[in-house]
Amino acid sequence: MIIGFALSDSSFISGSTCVSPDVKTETYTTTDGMASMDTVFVVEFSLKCKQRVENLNLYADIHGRTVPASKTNKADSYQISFSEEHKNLPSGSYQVRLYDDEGYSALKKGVWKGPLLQSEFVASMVAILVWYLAYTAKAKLHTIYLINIEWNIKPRKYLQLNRNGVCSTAEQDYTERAWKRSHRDGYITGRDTTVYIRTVKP
Amino acid sequence: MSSKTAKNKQLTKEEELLLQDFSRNVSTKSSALFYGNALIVSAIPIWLFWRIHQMDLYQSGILFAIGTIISTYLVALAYKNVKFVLKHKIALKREDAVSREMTKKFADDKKMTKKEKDERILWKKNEVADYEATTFSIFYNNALYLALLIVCSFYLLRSVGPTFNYLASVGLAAGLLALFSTSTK
Repeated sequence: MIIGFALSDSSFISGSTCVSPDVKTETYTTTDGMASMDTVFVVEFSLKCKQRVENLNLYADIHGRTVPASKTNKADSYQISFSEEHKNLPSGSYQVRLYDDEGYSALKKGVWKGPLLQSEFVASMVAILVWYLAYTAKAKLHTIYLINIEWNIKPRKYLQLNRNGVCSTAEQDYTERAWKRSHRDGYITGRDTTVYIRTVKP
Repeated sequence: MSSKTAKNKQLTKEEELLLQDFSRNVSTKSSALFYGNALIVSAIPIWLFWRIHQMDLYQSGILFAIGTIISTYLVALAYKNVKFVLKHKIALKREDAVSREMTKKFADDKKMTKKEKDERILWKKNEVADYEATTFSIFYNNALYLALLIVCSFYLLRSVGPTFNYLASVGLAAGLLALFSTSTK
């Protein structure tokens, strides 16, 4: 079994970042599937950095799982162990990626960014959309005309009704009835008056 | 002119019917429908605050009851107001279609007088407009209430505690709904 290594390309900011790493590894993997329960990897590696770094926290990403690397009693030496059922780890070549703190947090962010849309955002948008549809449907009913009623008596009066056909002047009775009878241009003749109706778009 | 106005005050039966139809009063059946619907929609926030905002159902029972009652009253008020405004508009929109249909229906009936036919048309128009306005008012107000509630509880009052959040968002949503419903637009 071959184990390849790749150290994350982390930026050179904190003291616990390893600059130009030099990794030497020793690996052990299970070879006899019959005699053992699980397949095990043990990787021991030494890490030399350009600068001197102590207490470096390292994490390894093997086969989609991240495990912390434990420090051994040797200086700059770490160990990773990993086990799975045989069928999940068929023989072949596995790559182990090592991350320092920064690289690890970047990895975690990369794996799970949280839901793309917050559920309350979705709920709000749906509610607002439904309301918007209701609102436009309601607005479509607004094709009511304002009505000017013109009396052919002196002095001429122009009465403007509001959208509900209500007029608050003394001629209210007449205008209301006129409005209710006809909502178009035209006239209504009374016994001695003629009411002309002129519709005005709001 | 003034005598004419006085004479005009004596309304014909048709006109009385008209005025009655366009009044703000709602029938008992309609009222029950409004209050029933308002109660259901006002109870929805309980679920939201119980399951999502993690409020205890029993501990906050009184709070939920008070909030629901106030909200029910305000939402029912909004239903009524919106229905009143819409009924006129819907009546105008449907007028031609209803008269056409009713005239066709009465075409064979030779016995019926013109006046009776007109009254029937008027009655039918009123019925159609009333039904449509009632259902649309419920739909419109429910949509607005829930939109207001969600925006209030999740965004406007995001940082406050759930108890105050419940009272404020339910009060704000129902209050704004009632306020908007008084608009004649």
